[in-house]
Amino acid sequence: MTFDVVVVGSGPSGAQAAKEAAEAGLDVAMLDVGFDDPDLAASIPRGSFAELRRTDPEQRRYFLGFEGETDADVNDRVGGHFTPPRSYIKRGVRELAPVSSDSFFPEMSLALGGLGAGWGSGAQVFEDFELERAGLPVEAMRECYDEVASDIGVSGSLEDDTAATSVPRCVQSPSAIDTNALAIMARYGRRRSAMHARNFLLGRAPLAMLTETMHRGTRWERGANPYEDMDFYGESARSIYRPKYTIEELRANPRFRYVGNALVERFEDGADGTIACYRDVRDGSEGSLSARRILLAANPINTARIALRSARAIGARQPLLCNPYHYVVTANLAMLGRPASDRRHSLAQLVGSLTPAHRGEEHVFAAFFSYRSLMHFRLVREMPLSPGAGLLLSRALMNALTIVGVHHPESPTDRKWVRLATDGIIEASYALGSDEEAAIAGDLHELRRVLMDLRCIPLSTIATPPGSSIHYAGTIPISRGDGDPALTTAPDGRLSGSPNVYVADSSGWRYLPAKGPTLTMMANARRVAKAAIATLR
Amino acid sequence: MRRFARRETDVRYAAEFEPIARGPLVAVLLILAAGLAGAVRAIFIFAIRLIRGRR
Repeated sequence: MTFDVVVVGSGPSGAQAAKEAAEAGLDVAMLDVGFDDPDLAASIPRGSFAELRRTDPEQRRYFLGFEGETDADVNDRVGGHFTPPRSYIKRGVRELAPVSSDSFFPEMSLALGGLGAGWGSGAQVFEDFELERAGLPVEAMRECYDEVASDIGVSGSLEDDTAATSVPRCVQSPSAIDTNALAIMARYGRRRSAMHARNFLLGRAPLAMLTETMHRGTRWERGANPYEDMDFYGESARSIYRPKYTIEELRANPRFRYVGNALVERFEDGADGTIACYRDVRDGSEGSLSARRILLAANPINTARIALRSARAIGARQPLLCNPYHYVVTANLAMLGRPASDRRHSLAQLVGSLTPAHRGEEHVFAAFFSYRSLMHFRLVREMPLSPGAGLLLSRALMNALTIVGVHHPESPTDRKWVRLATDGIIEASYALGSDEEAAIAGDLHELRRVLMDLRCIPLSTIATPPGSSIHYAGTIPISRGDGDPALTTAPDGRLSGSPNVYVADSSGWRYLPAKGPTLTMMANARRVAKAAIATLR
Repeated sequence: MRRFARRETDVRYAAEFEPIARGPLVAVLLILAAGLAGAVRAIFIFAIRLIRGRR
């Protein structure tokens, strides 16, 4: 059988591309490794984080993992979102999707839903200039944003100062913010003019998290977030969007076929279409599926691996984009020694947009998290104190502790690239130029001044290794016409040199704004899928 | 830290890990106390290293 469309990968882009094709009434297959571990998350009892911490004797199972006594399980640094119930997200990556580098350390996933299974759910839209710099058509993207936002459910405020720059149009009412974020917003409200003078805007985070129930038919339902503060561990009410929910919907469609355990290695163009060649990860056997169109959505590094292998472009350097990322640990003075409500969600509470003078129109984005749903021991191990003194400090600061994740915008340079080695391994190199480092230092300097003004006192600024932001793009960029790398995509997503293959993830983007890219990836996947489908008629 | 993590997830010791919210003054005093303990520890470690270095 020849499928109309074969989608490679089940992450946010793959799920939306497959949905677009399925809604068009086509025969669609999805090739995916699809590791999953529904049991641990499902076995977590209902209750708030604070309540479970006080009462559940079995909590070590999901807070530390089943093998909670090993050092490996307690070595995660502060802010790690890959909690034990989510450890399957990274399963098999080192062996099946190897990356060799001493300067770039990406997080990748072969799980059902890809990295979307652990998505922090920040659902921001790009502004017009950001879309244009990325090479994406503004009008088409705006339509696709609306489609995706209403499909997955996005909550946010269209009244906050950040609405015009980052909130999608179709939104549910904003989520309730926690005590800590309320205090920061109150301070921002009092200092609004001064904040605007510093080119800083603050608002509630737009999140792919439901605040109202969403039904489709009689069997598919997702509920509003119960504010149990367990969002890093379980899937309370399925309120936070995961790509597997879309795949679940698609599986009810008789014209959709999900092929799991399939690691796509390359494709081959034929007279009637293209063949996607994969390896079964259980026994190493080879398989293939024939398709009229293939949509690659395996994440920019693996999509590049598949495309480079298929083109036999060994050693050809392709660009690489990844937002530099810092986090600033702050103490919100307004919350020092004050009680905090346990009724809250664990995701970003607020987002701030800073537009420093040295960046021109570009923004730096800051997401504000409260630390309360994570363990003390991770925090204590970061402190230059004995465990006893560290715990005392941690307990005294816990309600005031605000972690500000800072993403910086990213443009391509010759110093950031990937290439395919002969053995199928992707080699990566990532180095910032001195001008980029100066811009980042300037971003952090200005942001720390803003944070001081918000009475969030910066205690420590932590630089993360390149690749930590989990925002990747640009490995098969949209063609500029001259100075292109070996592989490029056309503006509609079609891969150069291959008439039936389209790139449906962020591999084509020429620029990566500091905002969370996932909603844009999904909207772009819809746009590319529409273009591919149009050629079938 | 392994033992710390095990104790933190043991309900018998849950109260030892609750956030302390007894007003800003108590919070400041606790932070100063922790800072002082850290400084004493750092001096102690430095002194031991110095003594070992002389031997």
